[in-house]
Amino acid sequence: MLFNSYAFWIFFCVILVLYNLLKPRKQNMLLLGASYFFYGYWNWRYLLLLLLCTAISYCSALLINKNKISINRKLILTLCISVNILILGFFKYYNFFETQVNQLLCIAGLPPSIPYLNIILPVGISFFIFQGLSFSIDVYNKKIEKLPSFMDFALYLSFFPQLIAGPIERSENLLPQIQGPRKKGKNDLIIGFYYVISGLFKKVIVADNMAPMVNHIFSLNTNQTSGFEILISTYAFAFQIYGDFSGYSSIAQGIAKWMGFDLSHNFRMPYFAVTPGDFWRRWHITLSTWLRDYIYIPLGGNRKGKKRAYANLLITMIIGGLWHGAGWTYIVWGLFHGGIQIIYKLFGINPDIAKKPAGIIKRCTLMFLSFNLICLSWLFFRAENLNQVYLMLIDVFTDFRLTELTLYMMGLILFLTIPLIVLEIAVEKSGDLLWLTQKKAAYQIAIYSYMIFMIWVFPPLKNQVFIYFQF
Amino acid sequence: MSVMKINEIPDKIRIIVATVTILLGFEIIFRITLPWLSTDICQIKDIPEKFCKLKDTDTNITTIMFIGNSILGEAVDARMIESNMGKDDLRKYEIEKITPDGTNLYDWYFILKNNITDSKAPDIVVIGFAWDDALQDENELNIVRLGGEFCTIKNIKELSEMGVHGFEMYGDFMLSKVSEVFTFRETIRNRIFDNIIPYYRKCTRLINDTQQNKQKNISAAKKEKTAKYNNLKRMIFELSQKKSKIIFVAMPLPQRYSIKPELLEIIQNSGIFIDLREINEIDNTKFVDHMHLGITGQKIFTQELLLKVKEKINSY
Repeated sequence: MLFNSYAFWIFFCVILVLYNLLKPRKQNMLLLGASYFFYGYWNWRYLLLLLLCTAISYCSALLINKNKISINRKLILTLCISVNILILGFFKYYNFFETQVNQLLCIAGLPPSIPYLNIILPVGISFFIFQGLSFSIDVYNKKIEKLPSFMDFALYLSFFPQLIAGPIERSENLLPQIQGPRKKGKNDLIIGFYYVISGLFKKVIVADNMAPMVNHIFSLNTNQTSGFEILISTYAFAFQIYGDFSGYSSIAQGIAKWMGFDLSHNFRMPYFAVTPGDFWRRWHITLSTWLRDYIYIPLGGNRKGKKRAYANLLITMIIGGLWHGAGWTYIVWGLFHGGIQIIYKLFGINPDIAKKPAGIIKRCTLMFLSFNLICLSWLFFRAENLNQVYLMLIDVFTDFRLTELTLYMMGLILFLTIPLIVLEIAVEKSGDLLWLTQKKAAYQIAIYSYMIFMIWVFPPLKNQVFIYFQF
Repeated sequence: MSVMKINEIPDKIRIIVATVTILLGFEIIFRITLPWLSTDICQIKDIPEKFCKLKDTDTNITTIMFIGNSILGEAVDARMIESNMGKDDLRKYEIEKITPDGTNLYDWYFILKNNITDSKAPDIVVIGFAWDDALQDENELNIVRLGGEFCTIKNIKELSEMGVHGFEMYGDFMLSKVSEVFTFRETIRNRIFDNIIPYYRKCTRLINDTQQNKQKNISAAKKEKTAKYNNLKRMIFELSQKKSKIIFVAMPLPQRYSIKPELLEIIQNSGIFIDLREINEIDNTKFVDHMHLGITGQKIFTQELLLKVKEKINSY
């Protein structure tokens, strides 16, 4: 069930009406049932997998919590992490592993012996496994001392607004909201409205309209495209993936808000970042903080010297890359991000440089550089394989033909993204992600009317699925 | 009982209500300005009137309805046919042409079904088609266009038999019934983009063609499907019930196309088939793009069609 589908909105309206008729405890039961229905609607067989992951994480947390002996606690946690990673690895990485090993066997002159399995990747598996893992680790670290009931935990792991594409919620944020009484603010309606409309705008207008151009260029051989076309389609992909993912997160926040839940912010104008490190503080925030807290810091973070810190950063970013998908392009994408962050650190470039009042030119220059580096990284992310990246990069730097298609793509990108960029500049300047909801009614009415009109009139010819469902 | 004043309504409600009001206002303005937006929309809005005109025609006058998409629309000069049809015999003719852009058999079926009354149907229906798969069931069923322009709520059962299913299709159908902005959004989009995006039509077509070919290759690789013509048979049955005779015309295109034997069998058994895929004087220079004839091509084609139609009518 996609957020931009009628099926979802019918489902949500029914749930919202029932939800408001029930008392809090029963509301949780309803939400759990609704979340399982939401997940099972895609493929009911994979509900068992969700239940299995829920049971594993909860049982391990129970055992860890009861056990006072440190080594036993560690053993249970290791077992829990291993089983979760094994499940994730099987569904997400088996076929990649099979291809690589069989290729190596062929090179060695041996027959390929790893069987191919037609595995369907369960949607959102990376999200709920990471969320479950963070809970078990938090219990181990004694950040959570009083365990929730199984039902509350199951709802925490499967809460439908964020089940299949995040935000990856921490237990400290979502669990108290599930366990406690719902806090209803007087502005919940309009804040939820803002999240949903702006999310749909980003998804339907920005992301989905970029998709055909990007798919077209990336489906052609490089001898059929010009360097400019590749460059512009890479920019288009930058907006596509941003609109797609931040749009999803925003809609998730909106529908959760209407039910009295505050989900974490996942994006904070990432393309205004002045360094790649700054970018990761603004892009997919819940994943980057997860990676920081559960991988980078346990590896030693920056506490064991510079060299070790850089190595830790590289490892963390490679894992971040692999989290997105099983393929060399994702690994190189992670490596690239780790690499540029290290280079920036070596040169001592950090976001504070641009904070000085006189630093506006410096800030813009850094922003431009950072944006282009990130776009370059998207080329790895979007390409089918590394060979395509190589050929495309050669084209970008050698073929400067300004074709009709380049002008067409530039025109569309400007038409579709400029209003969003203007809005984001205003939000960035104010420092308040809910800037619009604080403005005068006339501003809000004008912007909402524009967004809804665009969603009504300018959707792409065919609905596109959310990119991050595959992760 | 106290009545709430406007300034007592919470801001959040006022914002949402005002936004909805603006959008409703746009819908109304759009409905008023609709005829100026596109000739195609005008043509669609005129469809019921065209059928009424045929209905009011004297029973001694032979009525002919040309139906197809823009390929037929650009190729046929209806007034030329009307003024020349009755030249050599004593019969009088009333000709109407309905050729909305981008339509296919599904649209033509519902146009005919929902507009032809029991009391009077066109004496002859001329259906112009191009490409081998134009009359197949596998054609794209554009639910927004059908809902907004050619179908009524009563057609839902038939639509479900034709393959309409799921929330998405019915949702689009219902929305297109209530909002003309929604129905004609592609036209609005094209109109705006034509003016502000360089090479909009050309590049959009290029991208669509590439993606469609890719999809076709994937589908073809998956399974070689046998063409089905159930909807064509349904239309033939409807027209035969109304006592209308059918003439199928295979239209010329810059690239020659084949016609499947099973399709040929159906159209030859149920009506008259005129094959105009190749006309000597029509070469590629007579086309303005990869499917539409220009003015010279239109004259040549209309004359040729006129001759053939006359010949076939006389043989009835």
